[in-house]
Amino acid sequence: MRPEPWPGPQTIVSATLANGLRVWVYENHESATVALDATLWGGSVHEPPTQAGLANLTARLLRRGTLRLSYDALNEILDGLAASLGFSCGRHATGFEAYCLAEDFPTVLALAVECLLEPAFAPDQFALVQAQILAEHRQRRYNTGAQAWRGFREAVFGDHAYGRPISGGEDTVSGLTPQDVEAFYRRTIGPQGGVLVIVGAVRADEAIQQVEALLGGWNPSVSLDDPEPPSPMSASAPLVTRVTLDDKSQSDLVLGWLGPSRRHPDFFPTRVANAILGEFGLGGRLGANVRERRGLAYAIGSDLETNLQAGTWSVSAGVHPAHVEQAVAAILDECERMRQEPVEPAELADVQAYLTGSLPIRLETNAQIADYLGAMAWYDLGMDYLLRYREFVYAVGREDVLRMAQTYLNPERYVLAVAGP
Amino acid sequence: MKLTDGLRTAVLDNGLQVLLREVHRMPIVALLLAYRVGSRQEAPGYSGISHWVEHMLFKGTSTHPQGGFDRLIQREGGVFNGFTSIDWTVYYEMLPADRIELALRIESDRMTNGLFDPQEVETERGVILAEREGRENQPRFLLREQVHSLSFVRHPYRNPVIGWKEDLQRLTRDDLYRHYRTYYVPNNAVIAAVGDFETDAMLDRIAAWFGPLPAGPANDYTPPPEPPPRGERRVHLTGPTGAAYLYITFRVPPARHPDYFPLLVMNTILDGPNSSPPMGGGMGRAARLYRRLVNTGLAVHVSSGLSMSFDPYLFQLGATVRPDRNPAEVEAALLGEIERLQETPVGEDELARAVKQLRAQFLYENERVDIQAMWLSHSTIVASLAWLDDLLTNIAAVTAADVQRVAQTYFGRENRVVGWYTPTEVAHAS
Repeated sequence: MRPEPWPGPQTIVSATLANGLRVWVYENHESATVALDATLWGGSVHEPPTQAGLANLTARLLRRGTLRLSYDALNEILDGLAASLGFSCGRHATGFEAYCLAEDFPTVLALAVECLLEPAFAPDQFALVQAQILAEHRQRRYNTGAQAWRGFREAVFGDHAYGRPISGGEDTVSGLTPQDVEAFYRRTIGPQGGVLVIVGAVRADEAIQQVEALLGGWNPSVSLDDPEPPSPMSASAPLVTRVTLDDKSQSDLVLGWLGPSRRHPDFFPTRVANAILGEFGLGGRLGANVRERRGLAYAIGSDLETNLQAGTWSVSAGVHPAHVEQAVAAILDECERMRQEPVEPAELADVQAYLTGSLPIRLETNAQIADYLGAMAWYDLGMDYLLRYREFVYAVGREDVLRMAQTYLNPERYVLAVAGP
Repeated sequence: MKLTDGLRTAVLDNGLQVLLREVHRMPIVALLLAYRVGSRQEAPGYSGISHWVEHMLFKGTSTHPQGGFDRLIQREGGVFNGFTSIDWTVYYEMLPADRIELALRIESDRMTNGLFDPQEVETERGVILAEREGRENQPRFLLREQVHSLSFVRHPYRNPVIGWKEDLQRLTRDDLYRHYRTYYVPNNAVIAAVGDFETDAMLDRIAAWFGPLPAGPANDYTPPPEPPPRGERRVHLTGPTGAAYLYITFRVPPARHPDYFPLLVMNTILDGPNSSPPMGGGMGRAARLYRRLVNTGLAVHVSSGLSMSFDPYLFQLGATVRPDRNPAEVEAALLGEIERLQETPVGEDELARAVKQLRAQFLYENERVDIQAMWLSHSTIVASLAWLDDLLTNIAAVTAADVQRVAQTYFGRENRVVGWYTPTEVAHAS
């Protein structure tokens, strides 16, 4: 057994390159594999609304060939190494994740960097990826879950960029050109403030030298402006949206509110409150009511989704179309109970034990560790975050949970999105 | 790596098979209890009964009338789950190493003490119908269900694991309880623990919790033999969908058949290494199907798959048709790749790449102790530990001629079922 199972300031080796890129390396020689996780500024909030989907299209094209290597050639190399490499984009960031055998780490790192620095944005690949994204949009049109979530985010965030799907709209995506992608890439993607995490069977000093050699000279001139944070929901009554999809067996519903940002002091209190409401056991209090007592749903639970500027606190469920009203009433009852009465001391203790006790299980593989460290660096949570995690969770008291429910779970101003027959 | 290295096996007097592997990377233990029961053991009219029993075992027992095992485990920092498949039903917990006793207590309790309270059975009927209806919303679930029901004439693999709705509406509490008492006995189960423990001590604890449970009658149920296929079968569904889907199956031998290994390599050549259980390999963009169908713009998604099964099961091909193309071209391209494998041996470098990918995938997924426990117990149930011991060696020994031979043997027209799901125009308003 390792003396200290958590990565922390003693075991994470870090460096900041002259161009502002932060590199975190955590050596773990238990398995002969390496996980890479990079997060760089430049995401969907940085695209104009008329070009919604541009950041996503750009990220997907970064994996589609370089000035030196065609897409096929790149795939041949990566598949030959039994390695995986994928690029994706979020609200504020574009990044990549890679996984490989330790012996191939230098090659895979170099390939990932080549994709990032010298993308080809070839017209044939542009056309393929654009068609693929449009096809995914068409599939989502008939997907009750996707439609409920889309309606929910639109209503919660209004005109803010968080309200748009990261994949954009069918109309905006079909209008994009390879030149748009090239321009977006030049304007937004750069090393300043970004983070690259490497976890696995590597030597930290060597890995940092390799990163320095490959990325140290990367100095594009980018200009990024984040939008203003979303404003609180102003409606004085519940906002209800419905998408009718005939010939479906079930309706999906999402009910929720604007939530705190990842760095907000309310993060841990809402994290704990959410686990009580809709996560602990089979879906928390919501699961106990809607699933176990009433048998109305198989999938029911609540979720806290947080980002740099704001988040959502939501309940989602799949129910028979005839049971939507009954389920919504039960959900609102449980939210109201959270606002009216402090949670039981034992309930709070159970959830705190669950959140802290399960940490080693969530940090088992190199990929899981890289994912955690990536978030810690990106959100500036501190290199000692995992060491202090227990303290953060146990700082939350019953009155904090009550206060969070009263602050966020407003019965007058929720958003309800339903998609189904 | 070999999962059988350092493995301790034992059989308790009541027939429970025990598999123990120490892994001290993290202070956690995965405990997995698997029963030899799934849709394979379900008689006509009783589809879905194994899955429903699994749901009931998260409810009360005589010692824990309120159930709540999920909460008991989570409050100790554990995670839990259960699933039912074609050949087996699995319950597993991952816990901090010093709390694993709790998992042993819960699993030994619910092996024999399930209450199946009639009121809870009725509530759970609603939950399971909702689970099924959620899946019915997905065109690919409906297509798969129809194609599987045409892929077997008699074998219960033809039924969905979750069960037909008509059966779920009429199964009774007594049906469920009988199924439970028949299959939930120590001599029909395998328990695997992998993680941070000391083997002798863990074996003692398992013997203490499970040793006193009485053995049940032997279960050597054999489904009715499946007649040979007489010709291609086709099914065409329509419904509300933004894309057309194709799904094609071929009946192939089970895991313990020598041809399984060339089939596994063939699957990797077509689509990269699928993982079993699925972990999302992320490889396969240089594989044949992706190049032939996605890179050319015929399909937006393509996959092939091969499960580990006890009886002959299915090699599966699936594709999502790009909206500007039609299913017939995609079907021709998919089947064209099969013909290519039948006509021309694969190149040595392509073969070597597939073998390397399968080895790497095995290493990647076994970073998790719960996946190790799954490989050990699944292999024991559908084949043997010797099979798992030789798996990577047998994969490495596959030749180009072997791949060509299995492609010729099992992928004839008479052995396939082809399914299409295509859009109907439906009212769509926001």
